[in-house]
Amino acid sequence: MRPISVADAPAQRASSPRRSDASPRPQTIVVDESVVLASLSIRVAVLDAGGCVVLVNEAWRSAAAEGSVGENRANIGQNYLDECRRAEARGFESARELCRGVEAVLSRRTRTFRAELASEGNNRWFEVAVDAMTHDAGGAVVSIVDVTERRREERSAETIRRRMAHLGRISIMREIASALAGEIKQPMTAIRLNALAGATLLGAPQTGLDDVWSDTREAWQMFKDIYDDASRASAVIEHVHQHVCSQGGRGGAVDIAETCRVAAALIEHEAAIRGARIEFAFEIGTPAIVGDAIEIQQIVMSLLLNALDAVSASPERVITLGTVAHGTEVELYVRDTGPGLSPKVRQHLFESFFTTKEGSLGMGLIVVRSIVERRRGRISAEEAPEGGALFRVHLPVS
Amino acid sequence: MSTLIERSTERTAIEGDCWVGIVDDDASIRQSLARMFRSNGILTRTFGSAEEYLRRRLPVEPRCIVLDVHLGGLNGFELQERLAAEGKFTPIVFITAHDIASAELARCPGACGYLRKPFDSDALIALVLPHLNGHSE
Repeated sequence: MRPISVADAPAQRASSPRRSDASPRPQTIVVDESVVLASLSIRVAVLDAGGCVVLVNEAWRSAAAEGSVGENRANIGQNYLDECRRAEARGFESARELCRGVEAVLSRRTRTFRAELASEGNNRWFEVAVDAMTHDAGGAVVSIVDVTERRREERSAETIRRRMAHLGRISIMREIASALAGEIKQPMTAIRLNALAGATLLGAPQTGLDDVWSDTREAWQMFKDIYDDASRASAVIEHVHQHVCSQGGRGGAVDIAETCRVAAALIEHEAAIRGARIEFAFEIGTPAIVGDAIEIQQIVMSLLLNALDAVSASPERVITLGTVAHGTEVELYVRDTGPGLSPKVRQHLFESFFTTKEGSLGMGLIVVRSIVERRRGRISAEEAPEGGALFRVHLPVS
Repeated sequence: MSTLIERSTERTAIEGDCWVGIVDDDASIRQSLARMFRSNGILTRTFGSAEEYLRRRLPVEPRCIVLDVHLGGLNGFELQERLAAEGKFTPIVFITAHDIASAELARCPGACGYLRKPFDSDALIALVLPHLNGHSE
């Protein structure tokens, strides 16, 4: 949000034109602050040095008239700072922050103050900006934008799901690139070694006989060309691989139980549709782990979706999501009441393009493993003692 | 033709007491590695899996093993652990087409080198060569 320099307007009007060397004839423009203010859909109020409201725009006036909004009830002639202090006295959290901000700007300890604050009922959100006037008389401009919709949107499950899907696609792309590079590197390595061995067996051509045609020398050159071209192709693959797989991701302390709950909440609807239940078994006091919350959510969601598919044909459809602390590691596990994992499936579980499901690319667990390993963790799959599959992810404690 | 060459390489290897073991589940890599070593005068013997390496009775231990990390069945690290458990500390050069955590390598006491495919064959020979010059145990 841009500060509104109402206070600067008279000064600019006096020195008048917009200075531009390219423009030969300066134009004079008179700024009518009331029109400028009225045209703004955001709420704007101008305060004097004491915090008294001296000027407001239409948006502010109508919001104040509604009286529904906590922080900007003050109208012309009233003291905005006092209004904020009264709200603070009522024990309203956001008002305290706003008070400190307005006080700081009015006393010129700071030039600007920016904050995103909740309304008194906590049901609306506002982006508040307070900017100091530059002239000697002091005072400030307060502007308020209602950002409730944006915030709601940002926090909606749908948005998180979309972001997760996007992240998932990126991860899958990364894994496909990595798997392809791995597959292509094998034959490339063999081609280069063969060409090199061939050239070595033939022996490098003797110098000084360049004009003499020789089959051996020609064959040596062929091996040499094969080697060079294969090296070039390898370098391209390596470059693409490095480029696609270089993003390391951020790493902070993540509350694993909380992150698990968020991920489970995103799946809950899907689980309910499929007649399955997700149970939590978080050990109390599980330490925080190193990672990126979104990535951990991605791991949990992948494993939960996997478990949902696994229990789809079972009479009892329960998925247990739990955590256990093991010294320097935290174990995150997902257990299901599905048919379990046959030894054959278990052997190929973490291979690219392996799937037991129709319409699946077989990259889900690969992505999970890749994230886990990037965070220096481990993932394993086994048969649960009670039957069903048990996936365990071990991640280092921060 | 390729089988013939691989066999002939093996025959020489068994007769000599100074050889390099190659363990890789990719047949092309195995053969081309063997040829590359042979063209440089180094004897080799190839194995398609860790299990095959353990199964074969070897009259003379190799001086060095060129070992793929990702193998079907036991992986390269697990083979190294088995050998160490038998008291065999043959130097190992790990090769892999995948990224590998350096922490994993650091845990592996027998590793004397690590190369990512496609590697430079000179680099591989440079890692193997020091182990061929010593006396056989």
